[in-house]
Amino acid sequence: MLKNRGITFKLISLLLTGSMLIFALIFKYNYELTKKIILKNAEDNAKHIAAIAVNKIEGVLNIVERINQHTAFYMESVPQTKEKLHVRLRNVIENNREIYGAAISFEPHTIDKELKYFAPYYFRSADTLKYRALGGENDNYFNQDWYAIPMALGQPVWSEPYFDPDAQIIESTYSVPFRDNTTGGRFIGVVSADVDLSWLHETVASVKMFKTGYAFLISKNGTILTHPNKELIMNESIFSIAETMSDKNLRAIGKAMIRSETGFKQIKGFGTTGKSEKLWLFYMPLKSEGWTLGLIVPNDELLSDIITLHEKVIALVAAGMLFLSIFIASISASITRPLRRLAAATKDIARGSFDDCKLSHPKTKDEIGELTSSFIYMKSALREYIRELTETTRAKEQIESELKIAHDIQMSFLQKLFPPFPERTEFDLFAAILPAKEVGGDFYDFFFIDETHLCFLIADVSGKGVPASLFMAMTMTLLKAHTAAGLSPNEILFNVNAKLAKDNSVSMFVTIFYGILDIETGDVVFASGGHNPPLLYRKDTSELIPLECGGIVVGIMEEDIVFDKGLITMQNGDFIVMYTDGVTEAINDLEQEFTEERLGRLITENHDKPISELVLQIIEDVKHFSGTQPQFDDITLMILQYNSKKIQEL
Amino acid sequence: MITALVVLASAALVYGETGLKQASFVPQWLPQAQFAGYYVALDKGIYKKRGIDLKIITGGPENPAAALHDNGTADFASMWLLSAIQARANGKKLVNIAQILRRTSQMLITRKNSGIGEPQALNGKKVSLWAGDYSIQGMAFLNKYDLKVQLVNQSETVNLFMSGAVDAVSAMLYNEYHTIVNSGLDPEELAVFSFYEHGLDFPEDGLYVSEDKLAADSALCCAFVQASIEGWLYAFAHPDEAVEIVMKYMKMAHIPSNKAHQKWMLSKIRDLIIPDNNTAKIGILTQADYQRTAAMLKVGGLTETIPQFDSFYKGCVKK
Repeated sequence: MLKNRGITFKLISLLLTGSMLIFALIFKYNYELTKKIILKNAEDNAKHIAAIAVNKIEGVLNIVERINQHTAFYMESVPQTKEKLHVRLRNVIENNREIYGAAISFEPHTIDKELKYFAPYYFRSADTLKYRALGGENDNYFNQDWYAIPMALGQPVWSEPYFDPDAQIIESTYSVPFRDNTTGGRFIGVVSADVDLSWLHETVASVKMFKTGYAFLISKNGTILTHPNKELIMNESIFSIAETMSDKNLRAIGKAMIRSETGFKQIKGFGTTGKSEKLWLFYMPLKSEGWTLGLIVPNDELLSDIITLHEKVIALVAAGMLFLSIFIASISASITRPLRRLAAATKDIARGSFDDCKLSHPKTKDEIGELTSSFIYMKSALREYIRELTETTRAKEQIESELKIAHDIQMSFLQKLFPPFPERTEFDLFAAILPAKEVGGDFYDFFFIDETHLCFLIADVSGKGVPASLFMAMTMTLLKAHTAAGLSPNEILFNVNAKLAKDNSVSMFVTIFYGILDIETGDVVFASGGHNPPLLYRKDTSELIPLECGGIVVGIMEEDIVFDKGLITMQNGDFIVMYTDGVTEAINDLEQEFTEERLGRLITENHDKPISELVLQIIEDVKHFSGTQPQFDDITLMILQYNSKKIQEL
Repeated sequence: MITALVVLASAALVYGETGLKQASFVPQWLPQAQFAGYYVALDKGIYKKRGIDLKIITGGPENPAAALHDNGTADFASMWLLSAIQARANGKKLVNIAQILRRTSQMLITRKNSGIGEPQALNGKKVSLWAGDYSIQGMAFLNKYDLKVQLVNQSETVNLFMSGAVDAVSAMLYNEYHTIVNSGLDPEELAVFSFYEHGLDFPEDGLYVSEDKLAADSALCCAFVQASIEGWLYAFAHPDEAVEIVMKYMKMAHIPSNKAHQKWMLSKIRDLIIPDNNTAKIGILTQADYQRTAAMLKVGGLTETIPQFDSFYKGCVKK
């Protein structure tokens, strides 16, 4: 389960991370691009709005400029009297509501040689026109900016706006110098008009961008002339605000503003509270006054569309990612669910419970579907196989059990009680058989034909298993049946061969060594049907003599079979070692055979041991020699020792 | 006339109902941080603590301190040392009871890009000087370097300079210099001729009282001086609060103000009040400073006699 979850988790996290990354890059690019476009649009929009306001303000102020320039021209071109000046000033104010007050101020001793100061000044006061003569020891207008600056510069000038404590209003004065053309253009005075700037508040306040965007106006020196926050007006300048906020960038913008530049810049606040906020400032000059209109737009509002858009995009992407997660989860589930089922099925199958394991045929033809199909096929194949195996095993077990019985029966044919004839001291006889796993075909037998003749034989049926076993039983029976007094071993073998070969459709055969001992003389008559020659140990000479005798295997050839007859006489203590090829052809781990030489050596070295011990020792040696190699053939040994002495002693 | 003054003086120095002595003071200009110590002392009750119920009369062009002092409207006045010496030389019986600004910060400012890097370069240029006593130092500077310039009268603003109508403008470091900077000219764009650095250091604002009033109640005079100095020390220790207080009085007087400028002014004024960082010397007028200043007046032909230092200076803070 964990592993399956792991696949889903990995898929989701990898795919989501990948798509998030791609999205983030696209989003960032899109954001920057959109922002650029929005800022460009906002700048164009601000420029448009500001231009309207600037034109409106300049439209009003230009009227004042033209009137004053006209008055100055009038002063220069028409000979003046004091009375004419009064009339002119009154007309100017009465006909131009923009003008709060107007003066024509003269240099000392110009229009009137007697007067140091001559400056008639008319101004509005509660809907009436009032007059005041400017100048006096405490009112030296020659030092005033509105007089001194145009005089020094020789050109019309808008003064820095100032607070008029008498009128309680903020004014700016437009002053135009005029000259006496009769005396070569000598400067003789200034025509000035005071403009009440109160209306600027409304005009500038009407300029708005977005929700809380606002406009403000600064003078040539950067002084705030209008601003929604009245506290700032005439008190602060853009530079003092920059200083309060420690904002070098704002100061640089302020300098650009008073240089009459146009721009659109980001600032980090505009006020004296030190509050930091992201704002955008557009500025545009009022060229003839040297003032600058500023338009402030909060970044949030400016970018609110893009922010809203991107919030929506993010929401959509989040939804998309969720959908993608679900999608991936379902895909991964479609992969992992059959896998999980397969895993469970594997466990069931491993337990062998095929019926618990329910795998439905896949609906898809993909790899998982193929795997499932294969698995289902494997399951049914396995089931069939196991069923067959079970049956086979049962059959095999039955056969094995029958074989076991057959084997037991076979073994029961062989005499296992030694010494077999305890009352007979003339000879010792000991035999042992170490059967191979399967039922083999080795056997031995011994019995008295008459009082003095002991028949002994060892045989090895070709092949293994039941046929060999049956063949052995038949051979054994035939051998016993054909053994009769007076018949020599070769005649017996001849007869048995004839019988066996006659009905031998399976071409089985048997090798037989057949001997008859005359226990009185020690003579041994023998014949061999293709069997390994037994070894005769002569005690006197310590010789080991193979008892070879002509003859072929028994049971195959039906006719013209001649078995030779061998004869030896055993002396006291001599013994014959009979064996089957299971002894000499035993294989060791190096695939070497045990060999007759080895057997001979073993016999010679241990000739003085009792024959039972010798038999067991040979068998042990063969087993030891074979090591881990399985025993393929029966190992059968039989030793017959002749003890004539014992008879003499008796 | 003298009798009338004495009568006025005794009328002024009466005990109020609160048990405080009533007194009035006029600074030589409109409320600003140049006079922070007095407004702070008033606002923080320091004068009251010293037994004075002080009234600060708003000075300025329409209320010249010297005139208000002369006519007895104000018991105490803040005046320029240069002006006071002249006044005493001309027979006015006023005495210095504390020299508050012990150094000058007056200067001439030019634009660096006008190429005026040394005094001689001012020859033939338009230089604006304030009228009256405020031009004395400027004139002394021009004389020192034997400069022939086109003098232009300077108003209270620096607009003549800002508009380019003059090449050099008179300025106080604590005031006009900063106004120029906050009108858009960076300090790096300005070339400054500091009168102090050019050997023309004349102490500026001092506290004055008439001889008669001092004789009538020297304890009150010294209490006024002590309270004022305490006010200054409080202002230096609490510059933000001091600026708030000053701006309150500025607002009351309908004077444009901004914190940045007043903070600057207070910090620069501090350098003039305690140029040596020794607060024990606040208010002291040294004879050397007096003689140098008076001698300059005589050289400039503005006065014929130099009043005796001992008769002119009756400082409450003695060294």
